Amino acid sequence: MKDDSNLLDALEPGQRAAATSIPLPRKKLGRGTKLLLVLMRLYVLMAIPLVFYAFFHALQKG
Amino acid sequence: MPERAPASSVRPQSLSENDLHLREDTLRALDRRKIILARAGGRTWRLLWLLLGPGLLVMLGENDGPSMVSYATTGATYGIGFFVPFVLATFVMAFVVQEMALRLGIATSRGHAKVIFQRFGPFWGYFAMGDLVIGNLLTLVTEFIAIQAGGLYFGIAPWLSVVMAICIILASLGFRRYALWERALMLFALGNLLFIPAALLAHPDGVALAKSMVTWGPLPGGVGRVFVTLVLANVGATVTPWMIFFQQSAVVDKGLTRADLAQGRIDTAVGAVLAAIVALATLVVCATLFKAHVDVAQFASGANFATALQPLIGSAGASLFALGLIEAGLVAAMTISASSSYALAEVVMARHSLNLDFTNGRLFFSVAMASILVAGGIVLIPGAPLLAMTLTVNVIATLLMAPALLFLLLLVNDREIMLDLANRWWTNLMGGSIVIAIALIGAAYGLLTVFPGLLGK
Repeated sequence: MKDDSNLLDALEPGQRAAATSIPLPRKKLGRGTKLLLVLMRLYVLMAIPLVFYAFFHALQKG
Repeated sequence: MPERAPASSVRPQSLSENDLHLREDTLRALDRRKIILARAGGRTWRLLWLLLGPGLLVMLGENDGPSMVSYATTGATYGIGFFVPFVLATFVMAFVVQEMALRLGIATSRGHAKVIFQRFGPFWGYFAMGDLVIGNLLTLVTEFIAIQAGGLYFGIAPWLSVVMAICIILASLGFRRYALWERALMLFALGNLLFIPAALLAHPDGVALAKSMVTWGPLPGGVGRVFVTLVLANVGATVTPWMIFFQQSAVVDKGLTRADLAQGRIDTAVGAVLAAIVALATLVVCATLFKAHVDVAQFASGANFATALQPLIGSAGASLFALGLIEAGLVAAMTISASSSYALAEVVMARHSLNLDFTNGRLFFSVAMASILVAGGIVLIPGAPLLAMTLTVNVIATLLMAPALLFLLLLVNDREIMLDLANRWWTNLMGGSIVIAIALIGAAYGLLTVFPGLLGK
């Protein structure tokens, strides 16, 4: 057990599995970032139908 | 003594003693100890060897089945000219993006999906993971198509190629040890270099190659729909969302720290250079088809390329090309399925490491196994819309690259988690330019998909 403890010293505290399972706090978003995220949601909303269109169009072409 | 990171304002400072004996930690610590000893002993080459892996695998992994077909189509359609420097430029883009993923992994010790989930909330966390897992599943289908195509050239039945590939990929997960998995994949990834002797057998014109690098030409036929589609396909062949997720998670799983950043950058650069040489080799070998006026528009798969190349570069060259296709699909399938596993397990807060045993990593290993079995199964369904899936994969990858890159940029500028590893103005300038370029390319691709007649032929 002692050897294991010494071995584990090779890891930084933040690298250990238990440390990485503790969530980072949510980021406080500024106005610019919030606007970017809204624009990104709109982009995604436009992109999804495009993907379906592309798939069914390709399907029809065989 | 281990290298210590500067204390972050959001990083937990103490751990329970009970948490110290996880298999995952012990195996990672064993790997770290070798690195620390090599560094302390001033053994530069050993240190570099130990730290090679994530960058090399992500770059050679992205030289996957569909990417090699894209480079082959480009060479056969345009010959040696504009696309030679263009393909090199896409690998510079890939390096810039992946270097950011490397820094983010080192700074946070967390995978990409996990950091998005925790810093931006569940909506974007699930979105990032969902689009990655679905996109990856479709990409895996195309990898099996490439493996089938390569096998077909050697007369191997399609079902047998797929079954053999599934067995190899599942066996690689059996290591339950990141370091072994990584080294086994690096060995397989060397197969990507098979395209280089194939290119040499095509006796490439060195003067034409050098001239194309200087003039970014010629561009026979000019700018048309085919040109724009190939520009998009080549960008999609080098910069994709799964690469960010994979490298960041692999960097964390390998246990890289701030002290390893230089070697991590070398690893990524070596990967980018090797992958670029292989991509150019593929383009060059298929430029012989352009010279011979072979119409590749009707080619159904990579096998057609190998068959068409046989009379031009000999059966040895064509066999190398077909073998390279099999390898490209195989290595990509291993790395892409691992990236799905990391992302899904990170978002649902399950254990996620290639160092886990099957009991503790049940979900982690199940995702990779299930995606491999489902993708392999789809390819074997008679009459499955494989071409439609291949085209849809390109659309998804190109469209979702802009949000993925934007998140990456936001995160590498997040000084609370990045501390001294945050982006500087010049990395933001390069990263921002790439995001804008990819977003424009995505928009162009979208327009061309809906209005195929927009640019004429």
